[in-house]
Amino acid sequence: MSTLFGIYNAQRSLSLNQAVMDIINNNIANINTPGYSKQRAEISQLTSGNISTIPQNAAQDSMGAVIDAITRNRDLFLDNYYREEKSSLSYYQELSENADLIEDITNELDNTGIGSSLNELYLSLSQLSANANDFVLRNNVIQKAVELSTKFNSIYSQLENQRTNLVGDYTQPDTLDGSKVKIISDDLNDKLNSIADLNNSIILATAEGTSPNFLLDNRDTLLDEISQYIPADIKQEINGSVTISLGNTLLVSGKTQTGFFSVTSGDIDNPATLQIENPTGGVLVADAYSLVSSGQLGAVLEMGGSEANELTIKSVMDNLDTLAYELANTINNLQISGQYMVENPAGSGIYELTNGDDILTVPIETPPYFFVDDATAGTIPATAAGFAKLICINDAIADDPYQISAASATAGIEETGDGANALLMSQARNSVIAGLGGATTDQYLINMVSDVGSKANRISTNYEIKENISQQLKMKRESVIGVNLDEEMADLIRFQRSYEASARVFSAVNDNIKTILAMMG
Amino acid sequence: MYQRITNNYINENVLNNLFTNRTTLIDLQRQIASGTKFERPSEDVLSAITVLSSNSTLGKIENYIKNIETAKLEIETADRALLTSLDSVHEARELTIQALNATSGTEELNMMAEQIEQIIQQIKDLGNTKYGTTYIFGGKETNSAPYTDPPTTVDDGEGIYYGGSASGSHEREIEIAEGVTITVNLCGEDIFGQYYKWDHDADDDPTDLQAVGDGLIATLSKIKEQMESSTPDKDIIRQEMATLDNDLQTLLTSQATLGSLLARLDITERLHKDDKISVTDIKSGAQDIDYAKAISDLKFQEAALQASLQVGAQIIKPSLLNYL
Repeated sequence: MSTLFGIYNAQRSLSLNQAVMDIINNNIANINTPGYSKQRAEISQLTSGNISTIPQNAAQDSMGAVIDAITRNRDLFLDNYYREEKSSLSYYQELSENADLIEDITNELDNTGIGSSLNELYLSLSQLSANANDFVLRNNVIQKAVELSTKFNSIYSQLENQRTNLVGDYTQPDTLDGSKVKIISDDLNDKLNSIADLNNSIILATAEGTSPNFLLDNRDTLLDEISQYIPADIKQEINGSVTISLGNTLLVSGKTQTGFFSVTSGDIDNPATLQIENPTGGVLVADAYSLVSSGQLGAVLEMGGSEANELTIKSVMDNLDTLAYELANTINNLQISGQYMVENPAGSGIYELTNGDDILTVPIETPPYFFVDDATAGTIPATAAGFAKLICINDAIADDPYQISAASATAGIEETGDGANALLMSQARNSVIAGLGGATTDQYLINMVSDVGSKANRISTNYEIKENISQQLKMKRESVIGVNLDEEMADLIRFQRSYEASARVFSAVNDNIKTILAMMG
Repeated sequence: MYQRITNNYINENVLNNLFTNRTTLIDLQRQIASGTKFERPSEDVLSAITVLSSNSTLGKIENYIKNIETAKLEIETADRALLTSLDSVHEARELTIQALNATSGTEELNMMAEQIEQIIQQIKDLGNTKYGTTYIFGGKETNSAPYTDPPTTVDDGEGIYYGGSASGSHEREIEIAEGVTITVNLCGEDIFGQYYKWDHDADDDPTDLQAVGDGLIATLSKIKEQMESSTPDKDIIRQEMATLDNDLQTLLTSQATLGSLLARLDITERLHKDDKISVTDIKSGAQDIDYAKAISDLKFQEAALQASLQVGAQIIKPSLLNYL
């Protein structure tokens, strides 16, 4: 056995301890770095078997210690579980945020909603019926009707904006560019691309036998982020790369991105269509909506779409359309079956009803519609779609409140105090309307609010559950990958002591050599 | 067996607990500030439905109460007019009895005719009673006085002409409860009648005018005609006296109708007000917080937050570093 063997051993021991202290240093430096996983030195005995150049000696087989690898504290199973839940959490989070917004927009609980305006309109009509030729009361009806229709318009527009922000407006394809679905899908493509690049670097580094811990941490962070968007399947490969797929469609395989998300403009029910394309633009999946049943992207598409039995922005907009349209039709039908007042002769300030009077200077006409979608033309559309956004008061009536048909058709010319028709209009609040599914306007509104409320309630309950689960998983994962200062300190002291000991061994061997050299001298 | 507890784990855990505490605290604070249990229907769907249905019901009840109040004012005005006209009729009746007295001569009768004429004018004025801008005895023609001189279409007419809505089509209705409407007005012609003469054959001969009309005004006018005549016929006056009693009866009946209507409105209004209180109670039960409970919850939560803060500070601080 060589005299200097002890020196080599001690030197190896010194540098090993030094290296471990460097790792501890790195761990402590990164204690607050997001996505950093604690690194550990894998130390094993160094035997002659490890290094073939050292001469064989059966008695002196052990030659100190060596760092085999620097590994990360990571639990693959926990990572996958965490990502699955993260995907689900983001789905409910997005739904919940939108549900809150819908509820805030359609707020009926305080006295600023459609319900209170509707009540005021009925009240004003009821008052008019008691005093039908009072101009102030007629004007009051107009004011209340304007308030109500403005409320319909603004609530509908806010919902429409919310929907456009999510999935764009299919009538204006440009709006797709700023929409959430487009932003997410672009970001997703960037991230998938980065994963492919990282895969490439990791494959190379692994082949060289180094530990690309920094790259692996980066990739894990990216995978976490991708899982927020889509429920991706992530598979570890032997060569160090990960394969990402959605359903049966490969998105990243090895060092290439094989699937690209693209968003195209759709129709009124689904304004945005999510597609998966291959690198050359060929369509792999024409409609990927069913593949993203979890994750933020799926939630955005669901909220912006029109799936039955789910809370969608469109379902609330449709309800508003129906309510506005049926209310308008009910009031309009009464309006045209009654009689309004005209000034006769013009400029005299004397108002009369029009019943059968052919000496009138003003030609007798069917009363104008009350609620219309175009104030100047005074018409009402054939279908309810989009009516809540446009509903307004006919200019003819707004300019001349005497044209409200407060009187019944049978009232005589001078019977301007007849409010029978106004009474019918105010009683419309109690009449069931077939177009509203046999509900009154009040009931329909309550049904609408409670429907949104119970669906939003289901979403927020699920959100809370998922939040708890993923919080627990996050903690669990943190307890695996996180850095513990006590642990690092204990290790630091351990390796510091062993460094000191190695140094002592070094100096002892040195003394030995000195002794031998002195003997020679 | 122990779990590996990292520093970030402790941080995260402490922060989570603090967030939970603060969220609860903020929610309680919001409840106390707004006085309501929930902000969005989804937080308590059933209570939200109760609140919305209550709002709808309260809206209707308030509408009906308002209608009843307006109707009561109009009916009370009509009632006062009828009361005054009763006095006038009694006065006329006494005059008539005096006229039938054997000692009354033509001259005295003529003087009485003057007084009867005043009473007739007074009744005409009462027929034109207004509530606000509304003529209440003209049926649906609320904008113009129902009692006027005969219109020019009635040639050379004279007397008191009723131009309001015809009896039977005079009803102005208001809603006092869901699906329940009442007529708030009486037809002036039914109560006071009318009486005028007109040139029915258009021969411009003022001596053959035809008399039209019945009711109180007609009776009084006919009595007046006899009184001012140069040859008063007391038999006719006696006959008309009997009719006058009928007219008085009509007035009393009308007044009774209005009285019972007022009573009905009072009862209905009281019912609505009771309803309003109970519906408001239900709404408040669904929506409003119990301050005593909310405030003690708040205090409790404050204490919990304090405790979390203290424990959190204790647990985060020490590490092996402190002892090296």
